[in-house]
Amino acid sequence: MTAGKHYKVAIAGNPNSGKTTIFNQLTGSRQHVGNWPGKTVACEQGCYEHDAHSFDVIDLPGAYSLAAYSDEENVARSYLLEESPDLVVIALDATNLERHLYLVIQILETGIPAVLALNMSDLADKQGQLIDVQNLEEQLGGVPVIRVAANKGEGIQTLKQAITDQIIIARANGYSRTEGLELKYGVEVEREIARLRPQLEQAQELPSKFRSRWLALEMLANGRQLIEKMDSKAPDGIVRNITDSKERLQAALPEGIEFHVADVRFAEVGRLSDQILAFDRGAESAFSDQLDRIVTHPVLGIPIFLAIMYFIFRLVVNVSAPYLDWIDAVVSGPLTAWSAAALSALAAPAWLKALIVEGVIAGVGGVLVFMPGLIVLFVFIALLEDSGYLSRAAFVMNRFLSFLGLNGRSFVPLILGFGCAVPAIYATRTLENRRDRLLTALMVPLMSCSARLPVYVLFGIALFGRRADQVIWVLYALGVAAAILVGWVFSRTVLKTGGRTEFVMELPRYRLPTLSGLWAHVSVRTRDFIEGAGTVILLASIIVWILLQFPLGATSIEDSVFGRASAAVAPVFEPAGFGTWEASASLMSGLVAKEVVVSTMSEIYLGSPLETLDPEPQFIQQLTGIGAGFVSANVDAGREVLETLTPGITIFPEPADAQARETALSSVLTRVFTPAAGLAFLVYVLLYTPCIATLSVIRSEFGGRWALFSALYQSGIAWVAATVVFQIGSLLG
Amino acid sequence: MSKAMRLDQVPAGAEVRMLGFVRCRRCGLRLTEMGLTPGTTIKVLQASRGQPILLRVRGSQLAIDRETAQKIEVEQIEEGMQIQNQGRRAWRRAGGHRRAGGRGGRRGWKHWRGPGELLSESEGDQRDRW
Repeated sequence: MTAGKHYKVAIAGNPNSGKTTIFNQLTGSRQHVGNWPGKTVACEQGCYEHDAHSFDVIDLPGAYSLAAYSDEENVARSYLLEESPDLVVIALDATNLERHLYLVIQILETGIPAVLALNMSDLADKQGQLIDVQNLEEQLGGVPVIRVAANKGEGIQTLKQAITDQIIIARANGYSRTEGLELKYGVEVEREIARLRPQLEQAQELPSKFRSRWLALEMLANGRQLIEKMDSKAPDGIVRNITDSKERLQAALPEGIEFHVADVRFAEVGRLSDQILAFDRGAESAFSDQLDRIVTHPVLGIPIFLAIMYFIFRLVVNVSAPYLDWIDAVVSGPLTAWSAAALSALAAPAWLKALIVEGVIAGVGGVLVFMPGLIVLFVFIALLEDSGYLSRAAFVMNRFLSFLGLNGRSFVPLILGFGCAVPAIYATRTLENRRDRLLTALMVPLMSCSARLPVYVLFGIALFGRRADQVIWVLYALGVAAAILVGWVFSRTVLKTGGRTEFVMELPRYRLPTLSGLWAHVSVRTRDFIEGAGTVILLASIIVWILLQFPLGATSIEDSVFGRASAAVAPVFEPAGFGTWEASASLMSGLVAKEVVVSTMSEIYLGSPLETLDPEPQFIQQLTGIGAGFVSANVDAGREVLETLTPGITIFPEPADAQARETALSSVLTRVFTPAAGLAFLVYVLLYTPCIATLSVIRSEFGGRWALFSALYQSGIAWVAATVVFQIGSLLG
Repeated sequence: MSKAMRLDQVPAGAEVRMLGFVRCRRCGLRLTEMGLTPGTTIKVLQASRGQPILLRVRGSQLAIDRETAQKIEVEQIEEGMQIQNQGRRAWRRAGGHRRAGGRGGRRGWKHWRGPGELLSESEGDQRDRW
């Protein structure tokens, strides 16, 4: 845009105020939205244009206040202090305004231009909550308050206009002179503020968009960060004066200045909400209370949680199986044949043809086959997040986590670990101390992530047939048990409790998940998975293929570089029952990403499909075959859903050919693995070294030593557990 | 006077008024900033053995562990004590808004007597607590 300017806008707000939804509506992007405190733990950035100006928008992590208790709250605070954006959009939950006004007051006091986005105002209307928006604007000194229903996109245009207008007004007036909300903190505090203000106004090092009054208060109440920043550059006098002022206040306010300031602010919150809210929430969400009484019940709570998880995993496995057959048939049949034919038609050299068919299609295709099951898993994780149940589960599980010196807040990262360990480890930033964070992060990789699911499904269906879902459920449970055991051991050895950590958590209101919200989740995660398949897994498949071809004269892949290296490692796994070079090769390549175990297996075992292919593919016939296969997969999946939803009732009698469900790879596996060895292999895959992406996150968050520690201890327990499973399994036959 | 007790002794279903923190300076700040200030009405929604306590404070639900609850001093809300003790909210619930006129408890900007009113209120709270 030509004459337009470039502005920085930050979105701040309490957890669960809909910041991310507003961010998505402003910028048109699709970030995850979750109904649990602490979903955005790092800044998310996007941009949009309005009135020929362009706006960079930052979605800050949710914070209850500008004081920083956890790493994620520190992100929000530091951003406001150091980046000083042109404007802050403060997202508020209109159905719970009183709780959210505290942060509003804090931000308005800073003097940064702001716009209030009164989110979920449609919901508030429905609940009969009248909010006097005009009065609120007046009380806050003319700050625009925009009614928004971000999940429906209502009010977003008005919000954009208000943002632009406010920035222009603030620019015209000069930021530092922006009028704003001013609270009085009592004689003693005001005296010290008055004393510090003139000096602070002189200090050039401080961000100019903040009012000197706020800076003074901040220095007195909570200013370590600001004082440190000034320490190097500021004229000597200031820092000493601040320390003196603080000492005087210590004497005058025995309860502590921080508490005093918070009290005054909450008194203002109380006053504001009395004036602008016409109805108290008298008949407050009776339904929500009823539901809470059941799901957080001291006895019923845990069985309910376990039942929900069992139901989810059962559905994931049963729904994915029919599609698995179908996609597998398409990939290993027509797709391979067509690409081989197309490559021949293009006169591609033989090695390229082999690379694409044996390497890329077998490798990447072998993983993409698992998309349907993963989509189902992603839908359920999204449902758990969006509905607000996750926080209730954390409440219920607090009891167990307290044995480990952790508290319920650690539970949310652990559950997210079922999706992917990387975001789960980031989510530990919501925890308040480093020891809790580290212990949780070491436990997260044991929660079986979605990348391991393809391995389970493949082996489960091949070796255990209709009992596959139970086997997979046991694996998930085993992962959880291992996490608890490991947590228990570590909390008594390397990571002793550094004193009790208090457990304080807000339980967000239940929300009916919206289709668009679910779609946002599922599409992002699915895209990540496909991107992973197109990059990491593609690359790994090609490298594995190349390693399998060298040295060039080798008669069989066993004599290749990769084959020999794996054969050297294989004896290690002999006691666990899978001491073949193929198994070791898959496990080694699985360090890149756990899905690669499957892709390597399909490259090794199905290495040369070219020889067995029909030379004259019947194009039309195959096309109708694909269509018919898809239809019957849908029917099968639908049947499985109904069966799972009605436990104990057989709606559809088992079709006669149900046992015949077999993919090309699974028929090979039945020959190579005994059930005991297969189970031991799965246990090993469940527990062994986290993938490279996870290790690098542990490294960046906690340092290389902990990443190494995580890698080593996990391969250790994996080997032991796999060996135990195999030995016991063999004894039992 | 009504009886002062600790929050972990309050049975489920009861409503109490927050008085202050006991021997717990830093840990209280987080709670303070989540709205647990002296004078606030707390409704205990759940208090089952072995579980954290579930509260309703300022319209939102908070879960806090028992050790922390032990450090929060509260008093029972008695009939008739409400008006003096409970601050603005109870004053309004007890019909105060009808005196001030206007619908639904809105006193309006013009009736506010300036920041001094606020100050005296918060100082009152302090005296209560210390």
